[in-house]
Amino acid sequence: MRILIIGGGQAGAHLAEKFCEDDHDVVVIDTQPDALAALDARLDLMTVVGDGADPAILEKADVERADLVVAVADRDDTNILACIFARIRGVERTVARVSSSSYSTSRHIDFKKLGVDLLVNQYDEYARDLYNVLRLPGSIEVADLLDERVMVVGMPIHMDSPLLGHSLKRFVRQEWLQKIRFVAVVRGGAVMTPHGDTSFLVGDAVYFAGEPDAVGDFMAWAWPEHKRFERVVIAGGGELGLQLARMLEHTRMQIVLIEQDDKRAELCSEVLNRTLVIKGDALDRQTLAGIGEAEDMAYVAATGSDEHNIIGCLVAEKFGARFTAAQVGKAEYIGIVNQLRLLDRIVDPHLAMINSILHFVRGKDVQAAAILAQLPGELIEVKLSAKHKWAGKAIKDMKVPEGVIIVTALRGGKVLTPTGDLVLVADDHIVVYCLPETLDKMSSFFTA
Amino acid sequence: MNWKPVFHVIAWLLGVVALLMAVCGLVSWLLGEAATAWRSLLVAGGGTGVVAVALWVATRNRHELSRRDGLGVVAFGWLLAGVAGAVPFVLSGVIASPVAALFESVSGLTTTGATVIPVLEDVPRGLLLWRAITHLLGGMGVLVLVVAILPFAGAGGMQLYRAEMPGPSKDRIEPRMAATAKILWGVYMILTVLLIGLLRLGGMNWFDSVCHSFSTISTGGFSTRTASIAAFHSGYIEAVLTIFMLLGGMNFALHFRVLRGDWLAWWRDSEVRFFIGVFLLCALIGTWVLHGAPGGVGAGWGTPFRDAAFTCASIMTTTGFCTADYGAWPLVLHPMLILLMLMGGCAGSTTGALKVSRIQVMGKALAREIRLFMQPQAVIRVKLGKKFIEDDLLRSILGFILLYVLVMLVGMFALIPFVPDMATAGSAAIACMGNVGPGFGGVGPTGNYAAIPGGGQVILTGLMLAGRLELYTLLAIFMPAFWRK
Repeated sequence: MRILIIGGGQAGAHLAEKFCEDDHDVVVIDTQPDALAALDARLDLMTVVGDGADPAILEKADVERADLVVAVADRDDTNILACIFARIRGVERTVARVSSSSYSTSRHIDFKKLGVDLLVNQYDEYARDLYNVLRLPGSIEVADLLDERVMVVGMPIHMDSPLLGHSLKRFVRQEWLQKIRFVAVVRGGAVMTPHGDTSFLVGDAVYFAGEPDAVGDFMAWAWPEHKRFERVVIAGGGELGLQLARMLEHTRMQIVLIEQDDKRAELCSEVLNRTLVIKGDALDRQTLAGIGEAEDMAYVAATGSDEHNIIGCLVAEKFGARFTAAQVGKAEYIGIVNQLRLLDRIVDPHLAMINSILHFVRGKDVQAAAILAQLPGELIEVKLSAKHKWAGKAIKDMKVPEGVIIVTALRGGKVLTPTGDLVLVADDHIVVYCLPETLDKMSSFFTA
Repeated sequence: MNWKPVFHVIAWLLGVVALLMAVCGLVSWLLGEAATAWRSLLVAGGGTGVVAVALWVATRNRHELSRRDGLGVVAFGWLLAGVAGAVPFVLSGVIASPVAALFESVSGLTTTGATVIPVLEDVPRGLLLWRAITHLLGGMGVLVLVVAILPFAGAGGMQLYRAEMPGPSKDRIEPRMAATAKILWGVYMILTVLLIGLLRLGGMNWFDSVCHSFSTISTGGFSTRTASIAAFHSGYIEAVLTIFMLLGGMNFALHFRVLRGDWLAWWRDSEVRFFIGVFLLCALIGTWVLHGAPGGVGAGWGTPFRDAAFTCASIMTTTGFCTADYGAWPLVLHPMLILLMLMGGCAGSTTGALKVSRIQVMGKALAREIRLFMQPQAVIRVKLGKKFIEDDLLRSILGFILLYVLVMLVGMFALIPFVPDMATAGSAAIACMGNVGPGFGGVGPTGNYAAIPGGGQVILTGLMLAGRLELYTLLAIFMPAFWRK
């Protein structure tokens, strides 16, 4: 496949690397010759210097021969325009990244009709990521399946976990298995699908799925130490901070947003309803002291400066924050911060967005159900046809391939936990988890 | 540098060389030539093949080729290919001295076309074919061929292409290196086959057509006759060769666009316009001077034009075919020919020397300096066609020209103990470094390099390689940083 990437910055470079790994023909357009020279020295791709929304430059990059255009330049208008031009020149699929939520939340403009097949808001992606972690404290990551009817949660196993020392066959409380489905276990960097003899060890990351209430109950039993947060303090009212606050307003948590800039703070308070917006410097002790101490506080640093964010988290920790997360853009910092275990979570501005673009690109045959950045392999949603060999069979009678797990099933709006006795019928929506190595086989298995 | 990935690629390169040597041996045998001829080729081919297979086996776990490794492949690959190519000349007894044989082989691979064989009519045809094939391999670049055949992971392929393709900036035709290399070799072979047909129509026999076609498109200059093209006494052949030498001197990416139907691609390229303009100007000056020369080549305008046009094309494309003894031309024409030797053809062509675009950029940069001297506030950017030349590219072009001249001067002075006069030393250095072939004086169109002693031949061999690989690649291996892991 021939792929044209517009924008050779961090996101563009990362995508170019992935696409080259996947053996695609890659062309990158950027206005900065230096950025392109660095890419050209490292990867087997072609570069064109210029503005990606300039029709002459697009012609120079042979846009009409591209099968896919991914526009991840710094400017939203450049990206959208580039996709529109590409569609006019006959490009089959287009993806544009935007930073402003006014594009991605617009209900009145149909970007698909304009020629933008996928509009990715990078802030949406990681605001959602943070939102999920905040609503399920202690989790590694969370994803929603089947229109939020089912959740997949990744949790670390600690020393005093009640899950320790039992295989699934002799599970302490078998009734959980009627509501909760274990999906995958990540042990020392390797991932496996659990079966009856699997037992959990300290340090494992275990992924399980279920309906939100069942998941909540299960977590309260298995991870009693992780209480819900009472308060979330967000430093920085930029796109990320604002979006996160907006999402959190649906929960019961108390939300405080600190913004330094007058105008921006006013705007935040206009947009938000029950969030307390404070104008001030998040690094200033007075600001934090003014909010007052809280037992179960989470702190999210989302200002534009990496340094500010990291220091802010450290200060918040001193103030008793139980959980700190920072938006960090520089790859060098991410490595160091991870190594020093300074923060509970780092939000890499590009990772979530890149993953969703990659899913869009790769998932032409089967629909990716959700994205889990820390879990290799893929969650795939399939609607069973009457002809499919799984239709009309109980799960224990099917020959489910090694490395594949049926995560959940949906029949007529009702979620069914896939226990061995469940009989799947045509028109059931099922979600399947596949290990990375079985992925190639599975896509043909479901499309055939 | 990492030895394993470097020698893995070199193993493939030697494999190609071995295969083609064996083909020459087979042709020689089929033509019923003396056993020494075909045996020498088959033995050399077999030996190179064994070395290639051994290297391949020893390095067969594939590794990624880094940028520095790419330089290593080019430098060592060319040296080893040169050594392997010299073996048949020694084994068959055509060239007695191994140093002279290496000179001949490297002269072929670098498409210089300077020869140490005084009389070519005595040489077995299998070896003449091998000489022509070294041109064919070296013209578009044997490693570009390897890149086209081998799937390369990472940026290594680009590095090989960059080090082997002449010119200041290298554009890709396709996003992927291997696809670009395939297209370039495809265009190269299309032109070669076309020329074989045209030469055959002009009355050359098949063997001469093939050999001369290989020598022309690669802008090499080896002939099958001692008198070079003059031996054929054909205006048609000279005209066809003039056109194809000029085609070989243009950017092959442009030929590809023309083949795809974009006929104006040549015209739109400022480098080609300049190149053809210089050719026409020099050919006309040459015609005019030769026409008026006392006791000149003859009456009228026809012969002077024919000689001047062919010689200018042959010299400026760094081919080095001869139809006239330009050493005997009026002295006023000599500086013109020397300047043409220094300039060479377009970037992305098979020619040697400095390249037209570098000369254009240098001229514009100098003009800018003069204008800035008069008007210090002026903002002037150097443009080539419609493209701006960024300052660091400009700096690297000027640096290259300076380095080129320096290396050439050093080579020239080092040659003095080995040659009779300054004209020979100077023109031999210029002609070898520019991959032209014939120079003036002792190495002029009627002479050859056989009279130069071994030490001089070694220096010239180095200059040929330095010129073909555009200096940096070869000089890099003398840097300590290159050898670090």
